[in-house]
Amino acid sequence: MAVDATSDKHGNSVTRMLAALSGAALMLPGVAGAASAAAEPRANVQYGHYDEEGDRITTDVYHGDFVLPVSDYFEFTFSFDQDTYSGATPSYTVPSGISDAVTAASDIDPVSLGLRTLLLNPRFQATSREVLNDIAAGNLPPPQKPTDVTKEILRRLARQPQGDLGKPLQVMSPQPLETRNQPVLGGNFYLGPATLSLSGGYSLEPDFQATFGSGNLSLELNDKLTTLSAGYSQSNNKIIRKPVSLGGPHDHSSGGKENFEATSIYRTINLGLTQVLDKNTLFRLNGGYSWRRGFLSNPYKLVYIKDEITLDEFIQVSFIDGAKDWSSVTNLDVAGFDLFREVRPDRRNQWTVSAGLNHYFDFLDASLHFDYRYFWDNWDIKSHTFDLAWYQNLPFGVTFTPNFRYYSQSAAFFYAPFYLSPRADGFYSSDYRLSGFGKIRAGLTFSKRFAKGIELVAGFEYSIHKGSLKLGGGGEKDYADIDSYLLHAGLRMALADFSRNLDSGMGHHHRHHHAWPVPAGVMFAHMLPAANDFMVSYNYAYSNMSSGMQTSGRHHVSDQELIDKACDGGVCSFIPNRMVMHMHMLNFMYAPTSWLNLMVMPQFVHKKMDMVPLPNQPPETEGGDHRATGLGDTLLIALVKLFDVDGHHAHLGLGVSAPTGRVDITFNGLPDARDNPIQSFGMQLGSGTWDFKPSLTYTGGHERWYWGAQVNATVRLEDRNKKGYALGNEIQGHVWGGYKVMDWLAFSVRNSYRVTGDVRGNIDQDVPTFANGDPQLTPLENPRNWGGKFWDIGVGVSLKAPAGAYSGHHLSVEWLQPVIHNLNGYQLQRDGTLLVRWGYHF
Amino acid sequence: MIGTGEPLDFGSYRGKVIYLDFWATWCPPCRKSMPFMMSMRKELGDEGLEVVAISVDEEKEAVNRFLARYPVNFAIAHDPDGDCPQKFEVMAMPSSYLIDRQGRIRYVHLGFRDGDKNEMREKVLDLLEEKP
Amino acid sequence: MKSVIRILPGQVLAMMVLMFLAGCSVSPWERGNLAREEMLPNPDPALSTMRAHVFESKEAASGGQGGVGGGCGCN
Repeated sequence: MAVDATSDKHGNSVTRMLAALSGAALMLPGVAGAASAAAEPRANVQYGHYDEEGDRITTDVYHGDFVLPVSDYFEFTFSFDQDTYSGATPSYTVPSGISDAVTAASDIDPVSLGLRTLLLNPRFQATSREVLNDIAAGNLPPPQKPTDVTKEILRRLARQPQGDLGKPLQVMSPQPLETRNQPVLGGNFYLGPATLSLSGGYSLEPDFQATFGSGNLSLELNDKLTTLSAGYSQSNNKIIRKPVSLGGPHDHSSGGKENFEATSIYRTINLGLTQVLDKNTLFRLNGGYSWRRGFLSNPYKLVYIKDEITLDEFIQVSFIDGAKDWSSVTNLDVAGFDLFREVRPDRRNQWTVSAGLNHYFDFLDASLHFDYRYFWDNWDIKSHTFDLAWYQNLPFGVTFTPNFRYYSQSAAFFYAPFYLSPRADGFYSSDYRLSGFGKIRAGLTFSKRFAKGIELVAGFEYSIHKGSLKLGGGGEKDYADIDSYLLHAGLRMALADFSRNLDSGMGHHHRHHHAWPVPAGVMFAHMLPAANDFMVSYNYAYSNMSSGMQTSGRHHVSDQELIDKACDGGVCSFIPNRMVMHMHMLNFMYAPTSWLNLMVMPQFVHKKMDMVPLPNQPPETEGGDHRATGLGDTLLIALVKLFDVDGHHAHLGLGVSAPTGRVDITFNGLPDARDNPIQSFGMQLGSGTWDFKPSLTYTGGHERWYWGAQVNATVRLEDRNKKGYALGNEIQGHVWGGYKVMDWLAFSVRNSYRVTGDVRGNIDQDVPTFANGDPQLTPLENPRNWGGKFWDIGVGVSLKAPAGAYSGHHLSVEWLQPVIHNLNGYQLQRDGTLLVRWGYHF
Repeated sequence: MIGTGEPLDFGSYRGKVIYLDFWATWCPPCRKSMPFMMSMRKELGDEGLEVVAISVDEEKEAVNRFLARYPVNFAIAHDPDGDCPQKFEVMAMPSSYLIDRQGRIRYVHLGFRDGDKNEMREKVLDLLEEKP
Repeated sequence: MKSVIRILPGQVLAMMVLMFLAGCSVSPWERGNLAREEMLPNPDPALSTMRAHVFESKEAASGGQGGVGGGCGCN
């Protein structure tokens, strides 16, 4: 019986039949009110580089996240962020008329360093001579007390403002290289028309630690055309300020002061409404309220306040009283001459209201996003944000998105660049973030979607922050204006393909071709079999060296021998005790043809070294730990297939290592200078030179057995890097064999031999010294303690995802154990290395 | 119908059980149901099961691109104007209609989740067992 | 702050009612364009989060981003 479009044999319309049926069907379980199914598993990696004009803050942001549906009703999310930042940031502002103030123009801080250092300062000495000459010449009245002379010297140095103060001048303070880490774990529960999202995580950086969590419930109504959502989030924060360290690079004895610690809590609720207006338009409305309590100031920022402390009071407490107790003259924390730590209120209530519209223009194949946000808080700050983005789809899966943002805010009620008299309420801040200003950002983002569920996104945006751009005028003066840019690139990947049928014989299933596993620690050994294939892999190496110093042939070296022989041209003061290295490398591989693969491999390196003093040092000497964290060198490699027949395969690798890793990381994280030494060769993030990386690989297999061999080399293409040295050349050979116990599980054993050549040249800088001027030598700076011959054995396991939606994933883990190491000179013994590789072949 | 260009003729399926599915390339659960429909057709095609999947994509190119990447073993139709879904009063994406050998709509299923597979298979088997 | 509160009840309610009525005319099979990734309230969460972090560390305002909803409305 035919079912024609409108009626069955009884003349009942399909409509009525459907209605009858659907009504019945709806009473069956699993049909009514079905919720949005969980998304497909996806992962993203992203890199951002933020730079402010001049030598201000530079930040590198590394981000990775993934979404993994576990069942129809639950998916698991995880993200990790790491920011590495350094540079300089404004500490306080003074009127230029008193720019000669004691603390403004020099680094003298009479409060912490005391009279002795102040007296040694050349400008103080010059002014003292000037004052004494004036007294002798009769230009000044004869002093009644010795402190009258000091007062006059300080008065001249400070040049107390009178009349026109001149433009405000921002005084910068250096931001040492620091890293922030943030893992966040979450889950989304799909329960009928409702979705519950929960997440929690923490953010850790040296002076700010936050633990946060959030929950959000959303409800789909009206045939899923309307979505309501409500959420709550909270962050518990700890703020820390460290004391200043005064010794040389390896002396970490603290200046005697303790950390400053404080806490704060931020709580936020938000409500949202998203409404489909027509088939091409989406509207959203959001409102939020946040309340913040606790220490809300910036622990490092200072303010200039005139007349909070009189000159007499300053001299009395700084130079006469023993205890330096400022509480008798002020409630504020004194940080210098007329300089105090900022104080913001300990309560902040803030509101946001925002609305947005997305519209798709069918005939242009483009979407427009427009958003507006209004913000206001009880610090009297009001701000407007206008955001515009145009997503233009182009052929070949490319999308161009120009975007524009205008932001304007008014100043906090207690903000001022500097204070010519104290405030009754005791609140002070000159942080430009609380000033009145406008900011324009324009950018362009480009994205390319590849056929296999990979999308590449990259973009650039430039921002101009200017007081004069504030809506309605009255913004901060132009001394605080600053430009910045953000460069970003990322990869968005589908981790599984549910449209793919399990049944082979349909579609591309070359991935099941002989893909012999490769041990996790061997690079460049795997070629993609077919054109247009992609592979993304994440490689991790962890090594922890804590077995003491070694020299060729001998595992135990006495301290006296190290003192006498390990340091070139002198006696050693410190030796390394432990070194930990984490290396994260991402490998992006693309096969433009079946015989050529192109690879880009950026890496991120974290090194930490502990130094301890040798017995020839005074007992109170403390060692300390030094770190280097950031982007390492980037490899660009091409693999060319030589032959591939009957299970035997060989390919040639040709490429370079680009010196994107810094070689100027100092001990204290501040910029390197003649008198601020950098760490040794082994502690830098890269080689500093362009290096040639050839390799030759052979792999083969038969039934369940497989094997391979590789020779690779690193040839430095430059004789010296910008710090005056070049690392030695290297040549390395691997031989491995393995057995596939199951289709998805294999074990391997590897034999590796490496020769690392000598360092040429040496770091071009002064030898680091103790506070008293004695040189601090360690074996690390001696170029003769580098290189050698290394024989290691590796044992590994490889896993492969079975055919189906997740096929293409593989995971290998390997342990590389040193067997015989013939080290040049005196070096830290190498213990084993853990190697992990996860890859996904698209 | 993709491939022949002919209009969909329900009459030609007389005597068979039809698994009629409304889907689109922009609908993730729809794409996820494809392997299931393929395995059903492969397993029960000899016993009289036909699968007809009507794509409601507005752009035919999107359907062709999808099928080039994921070829299927069942009939695909394309209705960009919304006539069919409207007549069948489709209330969700995807929607599956099980039609028995006499041409009567016996079961409507909204959405697609992994947990639905067994139930759908049972219903199909029931309909196949009924005598024409 | 006071003027914003006065606007909220009357006009926003009227807006919302209008929106509801307008939204009712989109059938499940017509949601292809809304399902486009760029039409989601937050098309690239990783990028928006990175931007928000950069902005919030240089500006006084925070919050107001994000959003759920829209999309293909699939079951």
